[in-house]
Amino acid sequence: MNAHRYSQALIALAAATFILVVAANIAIDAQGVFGVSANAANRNTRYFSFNGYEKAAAVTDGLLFGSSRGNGIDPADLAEYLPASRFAAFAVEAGLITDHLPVLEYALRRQAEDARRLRAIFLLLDADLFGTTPFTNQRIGTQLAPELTGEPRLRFWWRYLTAIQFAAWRNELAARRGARVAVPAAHGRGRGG
Amino acid sequence: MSSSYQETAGTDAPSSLGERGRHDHGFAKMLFNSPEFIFLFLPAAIVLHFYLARHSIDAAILAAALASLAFYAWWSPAYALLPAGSIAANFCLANHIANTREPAARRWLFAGLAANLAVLGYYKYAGFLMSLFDARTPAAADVPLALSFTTFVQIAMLIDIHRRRAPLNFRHYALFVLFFPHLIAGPIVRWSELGAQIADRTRYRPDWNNIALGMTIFVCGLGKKLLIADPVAIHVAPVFEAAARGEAVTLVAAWVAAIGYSMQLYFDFSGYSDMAVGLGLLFNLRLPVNFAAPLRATSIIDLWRRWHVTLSRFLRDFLYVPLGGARAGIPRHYFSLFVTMLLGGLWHGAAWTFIAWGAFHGLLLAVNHAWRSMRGPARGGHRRGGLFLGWLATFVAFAVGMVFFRAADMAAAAALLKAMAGFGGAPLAPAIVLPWDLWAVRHGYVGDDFVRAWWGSTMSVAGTLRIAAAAAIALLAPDTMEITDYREGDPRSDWRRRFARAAWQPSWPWLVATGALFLATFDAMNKVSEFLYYQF
Repeated sequence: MNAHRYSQALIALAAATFILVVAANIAIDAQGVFGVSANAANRNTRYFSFNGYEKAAAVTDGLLFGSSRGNGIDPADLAEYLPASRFAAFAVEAGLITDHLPVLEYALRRQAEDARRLRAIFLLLDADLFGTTPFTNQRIGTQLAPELTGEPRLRFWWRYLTAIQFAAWRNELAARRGARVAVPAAHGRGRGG
Repeated sequence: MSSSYQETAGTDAPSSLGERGRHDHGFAKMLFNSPEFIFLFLPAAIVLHFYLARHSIDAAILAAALASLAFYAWWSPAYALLPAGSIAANFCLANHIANTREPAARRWLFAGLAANLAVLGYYKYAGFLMSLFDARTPAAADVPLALSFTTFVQIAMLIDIHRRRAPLNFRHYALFVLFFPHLIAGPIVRWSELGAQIADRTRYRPDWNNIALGMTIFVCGLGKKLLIADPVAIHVAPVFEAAARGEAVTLVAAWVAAIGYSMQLYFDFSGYSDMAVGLGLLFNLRLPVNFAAPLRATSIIDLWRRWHVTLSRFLRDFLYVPLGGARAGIPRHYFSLFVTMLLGGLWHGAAWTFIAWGAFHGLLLAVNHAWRSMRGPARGGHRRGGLFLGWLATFVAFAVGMVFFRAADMAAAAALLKAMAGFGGAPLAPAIVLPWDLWAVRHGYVGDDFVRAWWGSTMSVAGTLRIAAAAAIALLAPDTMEITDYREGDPRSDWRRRFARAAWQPSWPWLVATGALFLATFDAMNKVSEFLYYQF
């Protein structure tokens, strides 16, 4: 093998890997940031929660900050008992106050700009996680939205475009296969029915 | 919104140290180990360079220089004015020196040196110097990227021009300083070695031999950084942070952390230097070797001939020799060594820890020279036992010095050194606060009490094994420059071992090995951290 063929083979390998990774990330959209997979199994809950807040920011006056246990609380129930008419829920895996601080700062500034104010904030944190390193921005699935970090949006998407994430791809594909099997069964049109 | 929340992008695994380009100025640094560099910037820069070279070599040189400026500006467009202005000023000054008779030329040379050092001093040392007078803790200096390196490169160039009196070509000079493979963190190149290559018009056609070699060296460097340095870093950081907070650190944890940081810094910086050499080859430019398997050194003198070779060379030629070197008697010799290393330490950063690190190595070098002069030349070569003892003493001394280099301040360094001496106190927190040993404890491979007693709550058995593996690679495995037989700027080359069977050549086995290593590094790329030497 000569240097020319060696170099060409390495370049081809790099290019092919890059293209495959980009294609896989768009097609599978494991975190749901490209809009291909609206209910991604591994979706970036920080990004999705923030997007949900952004869409309803004008009518939101309450915030729920929690760990994953916060998913068990219906924001509508909170609105019944606390002095806020609508809650935006930010419940993330191993969520600590440090995970939620960027959202709180953003929301306070946003509310102030719109001459509104937050009426209630509900915290549901895991005391046994205090003192541990927050997950935010530590993994591809825990990245904050660009609005919160000041990061260019293009760079945010570039990261999701170029990340090799076998476990997330596998989970997403398995979830899709499971959904395909489960949906017919739910409607009585499964293999048994 | 503040960008302080922007820290890391990992893939599937957490990485506490991971930091994919801090947004110091609203922009991220473009790192050699980032997908945007490897898959976008680098191919575009190379294709543009060689495409333009088919029509005009001057245009190709200009394109490479501008691409390098864009590489720098990716971090901060505003700060790109600094190297651009510095290059223009130094170019004018160099040509003026080349065309002026003595003693005026000498005066211009000193003015140029003073101006370059003044810029470096303003950005890097002003806060530190002020803190000496008002007794406040200096704020972290906002040092423009690459300033320390470009300053040294240009100082060496001015001295070289003063000696040789050869006028410069602006495009050549701009590419010499800005060339992105060495721009940010070296190797510190000399005009005498790179200027001639840039002027060589035969180098502007793609050379597949250089491309094959360059890509292989680059991938090896990527592997050092992403697969060894970064995984070690996550075990080292908690120990240094605990020491800085005044928490208890066990003797084992302190030593493992000090050795671990030695490994981290070696693989991080030598990996970066490998990548720089590999990138240079893609442009047919041969950058000098910067690391010569330094952790195998059997004396401190030997270590400094092999660690950050281009900085040692710079300090020797422009500081140690002018101070008197070895020619002016023993006291002056040791004084020159000490001052050179002290200033070498200060070059790394405006902090007492770096000064202490430099002074420590200055002392070690003086002791090593004194020992050699007392013992006289070794008759019939060194014995194996003597070489081993020399290596052990060198390695231990180097690891101890690394405590100053890594510690946040002198108090933290003192706390860790105290722990290394066995006075770090008993850990109060439960041992298994780090997740690394949970699996082994649950399966009964290691006892909780055993971990608590020896490793404390900051280091893990798993981390120790990982650091030991890194040390084994550093000491036993062939270095990139040995495998590829790359010898630029390494004329002595007496450190190399023979690896006849493992020697690199364009072949199927090497293609498979290099390709596999690249795939592994690509997988690790999204949890990359900055290179440690970017901060200097």
